[in-house]
Amino acid sequence: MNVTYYAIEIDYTCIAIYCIIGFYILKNIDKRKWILFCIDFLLILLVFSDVVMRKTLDDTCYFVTLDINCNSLLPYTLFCYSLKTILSVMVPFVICIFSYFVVSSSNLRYIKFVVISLPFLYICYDVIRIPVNGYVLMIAYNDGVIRNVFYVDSLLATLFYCGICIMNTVRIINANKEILKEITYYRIEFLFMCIICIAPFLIVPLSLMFFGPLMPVAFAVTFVFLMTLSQHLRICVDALTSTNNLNELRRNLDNLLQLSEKERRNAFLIFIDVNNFKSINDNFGHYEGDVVLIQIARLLRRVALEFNCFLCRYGGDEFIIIKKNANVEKAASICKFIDSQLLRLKELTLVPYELSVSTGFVRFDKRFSSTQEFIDAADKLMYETKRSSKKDFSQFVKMSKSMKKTEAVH
Amino acid sequence: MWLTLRIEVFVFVFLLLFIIIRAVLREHSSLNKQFLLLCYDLSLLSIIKVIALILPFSSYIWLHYIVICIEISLWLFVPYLFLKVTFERIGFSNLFENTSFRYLLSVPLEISMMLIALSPFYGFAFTLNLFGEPIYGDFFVVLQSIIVLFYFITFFACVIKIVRLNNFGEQFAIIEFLFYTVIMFVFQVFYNPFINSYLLVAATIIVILVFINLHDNKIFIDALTGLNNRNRFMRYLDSVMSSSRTNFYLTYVDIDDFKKINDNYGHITGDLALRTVAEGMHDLSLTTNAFFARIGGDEFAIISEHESESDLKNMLLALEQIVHQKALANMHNLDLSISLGTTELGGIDKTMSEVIKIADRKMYLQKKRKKNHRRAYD
Repeated sequence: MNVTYYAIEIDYTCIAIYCIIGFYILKNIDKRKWILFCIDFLLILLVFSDVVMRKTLDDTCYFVTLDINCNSLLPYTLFCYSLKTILSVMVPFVICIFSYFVVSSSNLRYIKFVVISLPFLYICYDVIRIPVNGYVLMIAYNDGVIRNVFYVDSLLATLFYCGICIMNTVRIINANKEILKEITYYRIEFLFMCIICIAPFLIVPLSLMFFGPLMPVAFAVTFVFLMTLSQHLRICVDALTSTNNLNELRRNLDNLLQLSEKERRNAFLIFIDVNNFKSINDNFGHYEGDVVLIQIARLLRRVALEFNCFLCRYGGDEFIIIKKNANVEKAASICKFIDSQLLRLKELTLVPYELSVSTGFVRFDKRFSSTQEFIDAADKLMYETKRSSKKDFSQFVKMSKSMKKTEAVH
Repeated sequence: MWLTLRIEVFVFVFLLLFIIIRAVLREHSSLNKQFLLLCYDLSLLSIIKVIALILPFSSYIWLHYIVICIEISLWLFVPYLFLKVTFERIGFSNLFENTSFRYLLSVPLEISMMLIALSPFYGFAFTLNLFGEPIYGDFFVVLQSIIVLFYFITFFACVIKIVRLNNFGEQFAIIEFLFYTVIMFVFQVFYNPFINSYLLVAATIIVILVFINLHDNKIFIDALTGLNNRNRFMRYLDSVMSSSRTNFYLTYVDIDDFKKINDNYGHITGDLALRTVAEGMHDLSLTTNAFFARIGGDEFAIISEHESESDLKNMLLALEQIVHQKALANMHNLDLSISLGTTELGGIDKTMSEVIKIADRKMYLQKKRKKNHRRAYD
């Protein structure tokens, strides 16, 4: 029953988790892979130095005052303790710089980097001089390593960097609010996410004062949480067009089914089909087809953002937009808007092929008792529109009404 | 001081499991029930351990007994749930529909639950020593042997499945589970659960590792055909291009006149055509060691390694024959034919996009040739 034993157990757990996260980052993340891996590696180094420090401590002369630990392998302990101190300041510093890369893109940021690095360089200088003058960490009379007066410097530097990190984290969360609110469906979960993202930066200064391994634990929890979010994006986001894919569509329709009858009746499903996509693929190659899909997806994403609806890619060249709290006129106006935007895009890019889409919409009313039925009905309607190849969406309203009649008969 | 650290371990484990549970629930899939149960078990175990730590055992001795009973029964359920998770991931989940197998597994559990329930009175599974700490009882060996039994069943199931498969990729996934079984076996049997919490920590890490691969089939496998999808194809092509690519060939496969099939016979027949080609590729993958993928609407791709070009031609011929046979069987009045375009991946100056373009062009040329051929006949 001693501190070292349990602290080392926590440390080993954290090392295992950081290694798993490191492999995950290398395998599955494309953007900014190396900076994330760098942070992960620094944390591994921190925990490793913590382990070595505790292993070289002699437990038999542990004093209650938490500040005096005596040992027989003095140089190693001193080295690891100073490494731990400098890494505790380095990790918030690196995250700070990284978040400035993400948040701002002006030229001022290079000046900001230089200014912000100054405290860190001062701490480095202090730590390097530990064996010489012991201002930060001192060797006591019984061969123990204790914190001296200037240890406060690293505490203040940590507070400074963590403060900036918290500010930037809040800014990043604010910027991506819509996407994050979509992923974390419940408000409590969104709050939980904010707390988890900010908590490590509050815990780092605490961990400098407390002797147990608090900081690796906080970062491990945050990293695992971010990994689950990234995994969710891989499952639910289409790789080519960066829109939602079928899995996310099913989730959205499941949520729609949970709503009340009245709200459901005001939900519309608009389907969009690219005309003659196969001939574009055949005549101009698959790469051109991919470019067309990406452009149309970008256009539809702007439409979805403006009208506040859900966009997903339903298959090869078909997209679906779901709009809640709407009526027939609104759905028709969205279709008209898509057509006009596409016309503008065609004029701007001067492509040698015909770039147009067929649109149509279905209302989500009580004949659909499951999401599969809704998707099947939309699929059938889309197939009908392909065969008739009419771009006039009013026809589809009539067609859906006639479908209603035939289904009511059956 | 040590108390705070001990509680910190359990709070840490609980937070990790909570995050994983929420992530699995977010996907709304009904496939991973056993995995969820294992996560619930472990999180409850960590909460109970915290309660057992905080509870003063000088007074409230009956409460203490109850808490330890719950803790030991949760600890005992871990190998059973792990067995179920492993069977689900390996592919033996149909065994559980056989009721006799289920009873066979649950009888030992019921015996040990009875032993645990009687422990406050007779001390079968555990007793409290003079300090109020729990120690092994007289019949704790029974519990341990049941745990060993469950782990051995899991181990042998993995070995059987590995021997049956001959594709190294799938074998590697099952070797992982073998490794997890061994680790959990070591931590559960050789360490005292009342003193150490190694099993909890190891099980949490294993849960995180399993979670990362849990939704692999949604990310990497095409839902309609069961072949690899575009993501995995791009990744595999990337890895092949960055390593030595001598004797590697990329073939693009396309169904002829797929649009006509869809327009004249409907979407369902179109899907059937796609699945026919995919079945042919599945059959071929049993005899050759090639990578088959569906990249788009009606496009497929094959990455294969051959000693010579004639070997490659034989494989493609075999593919055409199998697809033709299956088309005759599945789609009676339809003429299903495929076009192929091959390019060699070796060569220093080719990038991934160039290789794809070349294969694409060759397949398109073959299609045109076929169309002109058919037009000449008509």
